[in-house]
Amino acid sequence: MLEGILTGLSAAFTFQAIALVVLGCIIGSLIGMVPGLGPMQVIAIMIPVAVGIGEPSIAMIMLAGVYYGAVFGGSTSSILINAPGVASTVATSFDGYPMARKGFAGKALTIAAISSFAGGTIGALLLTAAAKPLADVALLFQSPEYLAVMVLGMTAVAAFGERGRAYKAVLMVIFGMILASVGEGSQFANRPRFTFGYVPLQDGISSITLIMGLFAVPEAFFLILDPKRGQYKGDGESKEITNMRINAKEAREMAPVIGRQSIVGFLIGVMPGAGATIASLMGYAMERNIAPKEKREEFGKGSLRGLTAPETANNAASTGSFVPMLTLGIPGSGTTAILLVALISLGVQPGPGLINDNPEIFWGIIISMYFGNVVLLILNYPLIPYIAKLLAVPRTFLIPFVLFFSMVGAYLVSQNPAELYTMIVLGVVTTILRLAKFPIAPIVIGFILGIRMEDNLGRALTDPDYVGFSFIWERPMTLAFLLIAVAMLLYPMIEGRLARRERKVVAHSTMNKD
Amino acid sequence: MARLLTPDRIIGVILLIFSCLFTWAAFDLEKTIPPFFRNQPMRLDTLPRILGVFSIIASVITIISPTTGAKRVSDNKQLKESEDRMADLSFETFGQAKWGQLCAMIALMFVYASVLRMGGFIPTTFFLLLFGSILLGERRWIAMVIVSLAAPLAIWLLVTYVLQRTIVPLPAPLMNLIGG
Repeated sequence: MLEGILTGLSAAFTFQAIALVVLGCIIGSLIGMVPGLGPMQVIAIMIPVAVGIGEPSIAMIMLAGVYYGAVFGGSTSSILINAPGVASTVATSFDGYPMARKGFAGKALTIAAISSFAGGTIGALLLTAAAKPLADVALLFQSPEYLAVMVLGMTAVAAFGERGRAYKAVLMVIFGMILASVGEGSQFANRPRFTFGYVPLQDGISSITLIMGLFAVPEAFFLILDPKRGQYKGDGESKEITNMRINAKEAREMAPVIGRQSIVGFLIGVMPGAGATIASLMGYAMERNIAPKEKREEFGKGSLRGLTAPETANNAASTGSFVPMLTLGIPGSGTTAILLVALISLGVQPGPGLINDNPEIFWGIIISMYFGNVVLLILNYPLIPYIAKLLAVPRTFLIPFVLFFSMVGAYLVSQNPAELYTMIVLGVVTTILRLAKFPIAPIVIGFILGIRMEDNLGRALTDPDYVGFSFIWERPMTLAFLLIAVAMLLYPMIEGRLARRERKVVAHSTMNKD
Repeated sequence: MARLLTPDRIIGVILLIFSCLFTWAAFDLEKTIPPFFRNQPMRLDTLPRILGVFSIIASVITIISPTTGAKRVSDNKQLKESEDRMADLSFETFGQAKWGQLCAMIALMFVYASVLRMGGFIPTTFFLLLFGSILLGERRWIAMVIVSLAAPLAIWLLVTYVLQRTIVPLPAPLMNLIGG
């Protein structure tokens, strides 16, 4: 292994590689900020440039820089304008955006940068140490396990209902799954569903259009409706916008979250098909569920843990998704599928032989992950105060810009105005739902996981090894994941009942004393 | 009567109607399934049927649940103040909101979506940003014109030359005139 690391270091530490990784990070960060353009699209765009470079190890090092840059760029638009450009940064907006609107944009971006760096770096360390054995375990996962992991991810919805109103969150998650069932998205929908003859719906609702319609557009609408919304009070707080300082108490709170989510995110990333989106949602749900009561109540309102968890998990998962790609030639996510295409275009055959046949590429990519993370932190850290000032732009300019960026994001999907109509209608419906205090995040969780759940449920049900739902008890890992999911859902209810009973006992004894 | 008509219940009733229609459509999908596929354990209407039934149940629970308000959760003073500033308007504070501006902005977005292809990306977006700012009360004309022109131009350059995707920048007759 040491020899491999040295090989990777010699490939990554050349002037050309350093210049290209810096360039890749800058391009990735800038383009990644545009809603609708995530790592997958940016890497796809950069493949011709990578092929032009010719040398596979250097080209892949540049693409790794682009990848990390795009992930960070997506988090920036999530935090500042509530416009998550890609699904994997949706969970970032749950607490990142409220924190920014409270006047702590600089701090939110710093937390995101540090969490991303830590998640990516710890992920790379794990990748260095355990790539081979993990790939073998990942292959044990079949549809029932994926289905169970997704059910577990859905327990995140419990975090979004008001106290005692979890049913509203459940209703919204079902609504999200209903939206996902439109069109021909699932492999079991062998013909378009619920299109009512409207051709643009045949491919289903695009996730970018949905995300813009659920998050960015309603936020702009609320800024129009209520000009005082999120205004900063006094000079002291305006300075907070660019303040990047994280105090010792906050750092102590972040550290265990980073530790846990780096490992959990990485492991989820290793499973082919799971990816950064599920890792970020699961990380958010997990941290919310294990947080002390008073900290749990801060989730969704600008919680430090709520921002740290998904940012760490999605970066660690992005790194983890390289395990099946590098060791088995199986893409673990959409982004690694594109990277796989890049490798093949460069004349490299990914698979079990890669580590022996092309050690400089295998280890060069791994070393470039450390390098990409460091470069990204060095590049972005000084820029955070300037990026954060975006929030101080007058609302008369900010609102049209948020709407414009949302519409460009949706329009770029298929260059069809129907995407824009869908987005506007979704924006109006979401605004009404928010007025009635219905949580919106569960809709996107239901939408993202809905199709994948349907596919995995279908594969499990049609598997000749099982009769109906017998895979639940015949596969121990599936059963374990499902039991954890049930426990996670029931825990808040049981805890609420216990708290009520405790209050009653206290009230009763006080009355008796009186 | 006032207690009966809470925002939760109004939305619950609307979603119940939607859920019933969806469930009806989900069960109606069977007609479109070829006979060969009808005996499969997983069909294109399996999940929609389950979702339809669950959405009806969840809507009914929303309607019949007690109306006593959910408490604000935070005990932290700073967080409470921030929550107040971040809190959404609600049906109770309906009258204070700028509904006229919102309706005009939605109309502007629909017009933008309708004329974007015909009018070309740069001029259409210029007018969207300019009229959007005017609508919200901005009167710094020079800044507005510069910003409204620079933004679509920058995005068009990015999309065309960096991303190598095509967005028609100008109206079709003008494009024909310049041979684009």
